[in-house]
Amino acid sequence: MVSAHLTTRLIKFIHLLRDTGFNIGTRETIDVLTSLGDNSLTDKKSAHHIIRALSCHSKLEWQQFDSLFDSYWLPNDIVESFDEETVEKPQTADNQATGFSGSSHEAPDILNDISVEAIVGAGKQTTFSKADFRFLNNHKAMLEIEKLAEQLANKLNKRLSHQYQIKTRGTKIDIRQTIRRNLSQGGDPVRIFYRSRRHRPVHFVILHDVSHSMTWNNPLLFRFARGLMRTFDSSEAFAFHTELFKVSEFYRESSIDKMRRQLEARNHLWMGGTCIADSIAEFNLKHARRTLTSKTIFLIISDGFDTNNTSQLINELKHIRSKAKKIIWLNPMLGRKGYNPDEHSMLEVKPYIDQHVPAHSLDSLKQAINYIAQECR
Amino acid sequence: MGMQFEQFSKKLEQSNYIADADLVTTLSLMESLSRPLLLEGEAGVGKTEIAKVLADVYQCDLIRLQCYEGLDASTSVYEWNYSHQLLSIKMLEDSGSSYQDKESNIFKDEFLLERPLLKAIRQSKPPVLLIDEIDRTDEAFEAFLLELLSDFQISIPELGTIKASSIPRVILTSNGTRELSDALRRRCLYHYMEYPDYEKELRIILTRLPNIQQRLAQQIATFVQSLRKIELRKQPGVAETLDWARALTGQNIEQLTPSDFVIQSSKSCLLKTQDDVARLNSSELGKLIDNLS
Repeated sequence: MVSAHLTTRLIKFIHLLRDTGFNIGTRETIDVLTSLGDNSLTDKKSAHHIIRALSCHSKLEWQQFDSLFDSYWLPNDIVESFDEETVEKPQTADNQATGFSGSSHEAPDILNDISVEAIVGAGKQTTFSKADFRFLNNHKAMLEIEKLAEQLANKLNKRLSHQYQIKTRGTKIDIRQTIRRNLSQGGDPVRIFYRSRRHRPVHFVILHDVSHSMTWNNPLLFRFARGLMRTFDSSEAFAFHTELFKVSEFYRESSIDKMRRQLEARNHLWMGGTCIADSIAEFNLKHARRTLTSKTIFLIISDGFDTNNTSQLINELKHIRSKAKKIIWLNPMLGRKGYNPDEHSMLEVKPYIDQHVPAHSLDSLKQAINYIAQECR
Repeated sequence: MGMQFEQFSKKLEQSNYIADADLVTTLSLMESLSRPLLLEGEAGVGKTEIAKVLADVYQCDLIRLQCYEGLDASTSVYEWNYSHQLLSIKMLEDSGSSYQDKESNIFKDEFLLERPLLKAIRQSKPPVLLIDEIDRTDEAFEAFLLELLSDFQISIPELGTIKASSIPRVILTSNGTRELSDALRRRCLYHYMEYPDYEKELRIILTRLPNIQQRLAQQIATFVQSLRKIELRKQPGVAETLDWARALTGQNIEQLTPSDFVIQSSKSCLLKTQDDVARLNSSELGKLIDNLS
């Protein structure tokens, strides 16, 4: 049985955790008190383990718990009687991180300081998935988020294959359709109908901007594009800065390091300027006839900063629009503060593309996947 | 550590599982509070193994549900045996029984195909239910699990609510590839598993492979610990360590020497991607081997 005094302090500690962002309800509080009462405590460590197991629900909480516990209970041992004292909430960096819910523009330092595990692990992943690619400087975190970006692209295929179709052959009987379609036979199941997943072939043509202004965004966007290329076999990819070159075979490379080496070897003008209109013109001239069909989703990954004339770009886009099913422009600048597409050439270009979507964070890529899935239907 | 926890720790050790005090506490709480346990951590830290060991400790069945994208109720909970139902309808056609009788005849236990979740709550002796890699499923399935995890019951529209005849010990594992919902997390106890430190890894090797030479076990633990400090795409887990140790003992090796080509030839037990093999070139490997001496 936990003493009244200890109960009060425990409840205060749980309130402290709750204020710090822990998701603890009444049930957890009761469980903590019951478990501490049931297991006659002989040391602080066991109490620590019990409270942590019952109050943490994610990796981030798990990591924060130790410092919060120590700062609260250190002056007095948990298994001894306590003096009533005012508990000051410790203002650790971890606390700040928990409260941090906006984009990285608000507190980029916190994102950089936060441990790799906090970023890549589960838990408050939703918070970090909003993080702008530009502020993820930690190498290991970058590698993990790149991996997630590629997995995201793979998910598109699974989303598209979630649709069902009814067939006369298969393994899973669709009882509803069987009855429905046998009504003309008086309900007798003369013909059996089966349900199977619909696989629609999707064909992408990706034009990826690899100019200087895209340097910060590209490691992740490469992985995203790579995911699409490896998932949808018939797709084609091209990279461009001031000129255009085909990169489909590099994206399909199974080794990521090899892909990077090949791209770097090929892209000798990596840090150059951007000629979007010229590059699309080159595409239209040399590759459009072979790669574009009425089912093609044409994906442009670029920040839209172009040294070419906007009217030239519009003309080239018009040509693509007449050949392809949809044009989707993924723009890493679009979700960022201070960027207004209406102040740039994108305002004039927008009527000639079907979707202009942000691509600056994992969340925005998830949104992009939703758009693409809608367009593929 | 309390007596109860100490005893439980010993039982786990008898089943060849070396657990930290905090994990022992969590597993004891899971038992006393009848709450599911959500285990997160990198692949290869021993999450799935816990379920197998618990089944051994409690001498009960292990029912495993391997999750994947698109997993639905028909493959995880139950499915009606449609072909038998159709056959039964045909046979009842001339029996002259009423519509209600026919319906009650085809929606009964006999035509119900049990899948892992339903099977788990209908056992007379509580089994260990392992829901492996829950992060691979979609949100819809996760929501479906909530009823089972909070009330240990499953609703089947044609039969009503089936309550658990015994509360299974539920273990959910996740590698963190997708964010799980707060609702699911709230229903579970939580434990995050890290890679073991040197001492623990050494104990694991010695427990799992009792015939291994002490010196070789120490070298293996040292080598794997230093390997984890290198930025690899796929860090070697405990399973990889044990595989490597088995491979080395299988070749009757008692000790690794700095110039040992055995490490070179058996590194495939530890490195699982082409990139990692390329990254761990001869000079890098040489440094690690030098540390062994």
